[in-house]
Amino acid sequence: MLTVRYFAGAREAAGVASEQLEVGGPTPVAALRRALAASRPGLAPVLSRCALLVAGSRATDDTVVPDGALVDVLPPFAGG
Amino acid sequence: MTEVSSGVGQSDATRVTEDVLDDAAARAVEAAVAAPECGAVVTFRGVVRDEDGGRDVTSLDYEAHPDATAVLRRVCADVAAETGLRVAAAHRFGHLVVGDVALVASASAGHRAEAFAACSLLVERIKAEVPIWKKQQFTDGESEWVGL
Repeated sequence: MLTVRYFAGAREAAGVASEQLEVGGPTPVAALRRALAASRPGLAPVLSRCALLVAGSRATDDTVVPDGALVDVLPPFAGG
Repeated sequence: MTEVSSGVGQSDATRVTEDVLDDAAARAVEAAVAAPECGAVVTFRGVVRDEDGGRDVTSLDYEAHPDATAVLRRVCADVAAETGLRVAAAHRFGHLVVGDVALVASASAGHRAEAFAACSLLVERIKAEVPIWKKQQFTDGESEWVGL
């Protein structure tokens, strides 16, 4: 089970601020992205522009998301 | 006072906050970089502008990640380490209207060239690395997330 938090434009596209996602074990980040996009169609175009923060560290294509992790979906930053 | 999670070991002036960034707040950021050997203090204020891309803007809604203050403090520490200078910054979130200050960033140095350069570097790093987002509200009623 993962906890996924959506921020800013990703939250708006997802329609929720956070959700629990059953993944059945360690999950490659690419597979997680596919699962998120499939479960929330409105999110797909935004998700492709977002970074994923897994347990506080920015995920790369090689990251494997451990079961139980907190995953943050972060749109491009726009401070200043 | 509402702030996004704090760190330790740096000035309280460096923070991501819902508080208004008024003159007193800007002075607090400057005070955090002041030192007897520094003859130059450069402060940048980022202010909500009334247009973007030719469209009239009425307000901006800033959102900050819970770790935003910790990231801002790390960014300041990185820039300080790279330049050897004192830097500090405060960023506001919440609902801001045209003319409101969103960001105060200060750097100090012995002389002005280094202080200007460090302040500019600090602002660039903040924009690139601190998890903050903003949604523009236009006069025609539409809105959009900046950068998305």
